[in-house]
Amino acid sequence: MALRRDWVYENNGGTCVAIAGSDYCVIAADTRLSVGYSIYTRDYSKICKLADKCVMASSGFQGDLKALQKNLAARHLIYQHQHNKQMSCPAMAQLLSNTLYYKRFFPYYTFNILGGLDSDGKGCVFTYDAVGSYERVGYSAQGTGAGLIIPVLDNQLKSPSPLLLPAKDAVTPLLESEAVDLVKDVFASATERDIYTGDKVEIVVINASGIRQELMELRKD
Amino acid sequence: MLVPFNYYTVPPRQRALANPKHRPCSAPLPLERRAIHRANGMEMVAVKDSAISENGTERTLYPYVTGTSVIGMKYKDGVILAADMGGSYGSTLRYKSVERIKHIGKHSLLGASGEISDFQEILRYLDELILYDNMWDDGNSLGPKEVHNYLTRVMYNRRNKFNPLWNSLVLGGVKNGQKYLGMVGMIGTHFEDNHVATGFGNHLARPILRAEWREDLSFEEAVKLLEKCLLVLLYRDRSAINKFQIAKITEEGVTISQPYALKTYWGFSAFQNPSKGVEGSW
Repeated sequence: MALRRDWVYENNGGTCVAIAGSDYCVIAADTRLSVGYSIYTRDYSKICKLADKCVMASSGFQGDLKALQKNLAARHLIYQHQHNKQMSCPAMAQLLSNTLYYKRFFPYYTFNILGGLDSDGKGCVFTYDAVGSYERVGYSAQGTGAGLIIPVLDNQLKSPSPLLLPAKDAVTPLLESEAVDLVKDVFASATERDIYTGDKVEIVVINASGIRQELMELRKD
Repeated sequence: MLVPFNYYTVPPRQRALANPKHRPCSAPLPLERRAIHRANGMEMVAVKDSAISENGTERTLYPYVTGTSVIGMKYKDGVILAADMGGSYGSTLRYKSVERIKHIGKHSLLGASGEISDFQEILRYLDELILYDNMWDDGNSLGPKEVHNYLTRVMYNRRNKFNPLWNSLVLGGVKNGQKYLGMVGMIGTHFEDNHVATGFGNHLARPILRAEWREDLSFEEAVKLLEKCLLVLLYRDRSAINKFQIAKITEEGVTISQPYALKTYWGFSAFQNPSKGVEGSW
């Protein structure tokens, strides 16, 4: 008989969405923190700015989520001291993957999306599982509401098959404002059916002029 | 005796537990505890070096003496916390004068639910933390934000060692005119809010707080609101008792009230005959 160790994890819910455009990236997450049928707080930000052009949205177990954010922040500080520059988004993506895989046999129970601009200023989105396998995509959703949101994004954004040769760009053709509106819509919809999503959605937009953040109210029931 | 790593012997107590027939006939263990010990016993046969130290130590796999909900909220001049003074041994009300709200350093108040002994250990950690911070003698002092962050790391670290501190903690305080109120759970889940409540309080008290809480609540209004919550908990939480402490912290300092009781009314007809008018066979 194995010792039960399920108590070391808790699912605090939450949904993350990111969309990459040709010169922008939109990353969003709701602000509800819950466990089971109870809500801990309606105002918990799950989005973390890791570098000037690199933002991570996470859901899952809040304890692990915060530990992961602190770990990456510390690693980025060391990187800045060593290289005297900000880490690029694809570099941070690899670091996040390694950090998650480092705990392969006692994983961080977190579901992350990394978004930002790559070195060419093009929008990029990286999507992960809890143990670090990752992929660069044009858009993604993670967390408790992902199952409700992914099909809508597939329908609206129709990313080219990753099997195509030569590879086609995965960035979406939408304008920045259209992408923000789409994110608002999918969160409003997910909130209707997913009890772990709601209260507020925090939307972060990264483009050449910097980072902008906005909040939209969601259903609170 | 120090045992060399590869020559580990099963200590007699655990050997007895590993073989159910050899179990000393003291009070019967609760079912889930027997299961855990037997699991330890089986593991010991198979496990080698790395887990040796693990088998030699006991962990809090379930709590013994527990305290129930703590509630806290910000109000006009600071933060206010409330908890009853009960210490339950399972469903037995074993202790009736447990102080579950303590002040920490100059600017913080800590309230705890869950295992009382673990709470007292946390208080020892914090005493050391505050003492060593004080020894710098630089005029700085740890505020509620720092203490909350410290607790957060302690709780999360212990869960990473599969050896948790079985508590939900509420930390409130005021420093430099900034009010602070946060919570930490057993496995390190933590957050800040304008009002918080642990355990049953999250189910029963927080809906009331969400409906009635305001930033500019006066002290009297805050106490009234907390007592309303405590009364609901007293009626509906079986391990709650009618002996409370309310504590406040402001820029001026900490005040923890003497224990007192609330006036209850059990004469509601629904209390006297709860199944009257209910459809069904019982």
